[in-house]
Amino acid sequence: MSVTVTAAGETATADYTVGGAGLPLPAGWPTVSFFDDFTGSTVDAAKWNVRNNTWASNELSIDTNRPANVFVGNSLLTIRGQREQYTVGGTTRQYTSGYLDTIGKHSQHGGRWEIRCALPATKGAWGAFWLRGDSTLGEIDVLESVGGLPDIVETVHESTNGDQDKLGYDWKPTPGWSYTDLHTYAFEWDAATGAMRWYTDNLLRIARSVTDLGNPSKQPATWLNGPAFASPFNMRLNLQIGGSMPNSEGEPVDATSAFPADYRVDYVRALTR
Amino acid sequence: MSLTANLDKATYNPGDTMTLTVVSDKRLQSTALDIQSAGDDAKVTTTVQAGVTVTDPSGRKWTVKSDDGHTAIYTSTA
Repeated sequence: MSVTVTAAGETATADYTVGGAGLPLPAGWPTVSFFDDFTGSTVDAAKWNVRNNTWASNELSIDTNRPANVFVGNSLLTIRGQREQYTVGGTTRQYTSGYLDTIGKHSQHGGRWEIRCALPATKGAWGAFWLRGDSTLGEIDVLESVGGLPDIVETVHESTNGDQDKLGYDWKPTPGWSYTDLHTYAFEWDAATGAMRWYTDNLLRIARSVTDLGNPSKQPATWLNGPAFASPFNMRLNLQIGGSMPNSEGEPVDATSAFPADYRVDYVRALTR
Repeated sequence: MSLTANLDKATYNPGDTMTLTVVSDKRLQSTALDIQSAGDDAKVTTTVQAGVTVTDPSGRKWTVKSDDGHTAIYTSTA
């Protein structure tokens, strides 16, 4: 939302957001810098870019902005993976899905990010909420899931290209807990020190710092507050179908995979101190 | 002319007071003028509006709280 002032032919605009009602502020995080609880009937274009007819080499789907793949209703954002043949230019794939980001709309350097979401159990569906540097190579995976496995994977990469160091954590939920239900995931990052913390349902799952040993280097991860993390980070919400992670986890998409596969998001919030 | 508009916060909870500060390097405040014709004792006072408009597509009403001619403070409710 915005308010516009006009005088003597000049115009000035100030943007604002109203949100967060009913959501308590976490201790130590007094300022909400981004909030979307998807209460409208369309994706808020002031907050999100919805990619259209794009794809990555490490997935089997094409991302579109069609309502068949991305829609808002019942106070939820749904990213829907579909088994369908779809062609863009000379590229034809057998699956479609969706990908939203906040590039150019919201980024911050350090802080806390939250999502309340439910991920699909479809074998080979690869849902994620992740952060990337606006102008640097670092990547923070607040959560990733691979349908067919119960795990939530939380990783920080020195390079989004996967060719440098990383620190990963594979949280294996207790029986009865499933990411197919709505749960809250949070990530905190002290950009000054490189300290990072991942939470699920407000419980700390893993903390990382520059003294942890990176993989594969086995050296202290001093890169956590190095150049790869020296810029503000934007948000990414996407559901890939098939590709590198499901394949490496032994859960490739195949004829047994059930579609549509829905990644449902109740809200996304970012905070600063 | 330079005109700026700034809110006190980027994000509000419903019910919060929102404060908008408008700053101009030229006079914005409405001015009262007394007009008196030569040979006529009658005097007419009129007001020249500076033509400042505040619009908000959300429908919020913005109310001016102070205006010194260069800096105007408006408030509304989130």
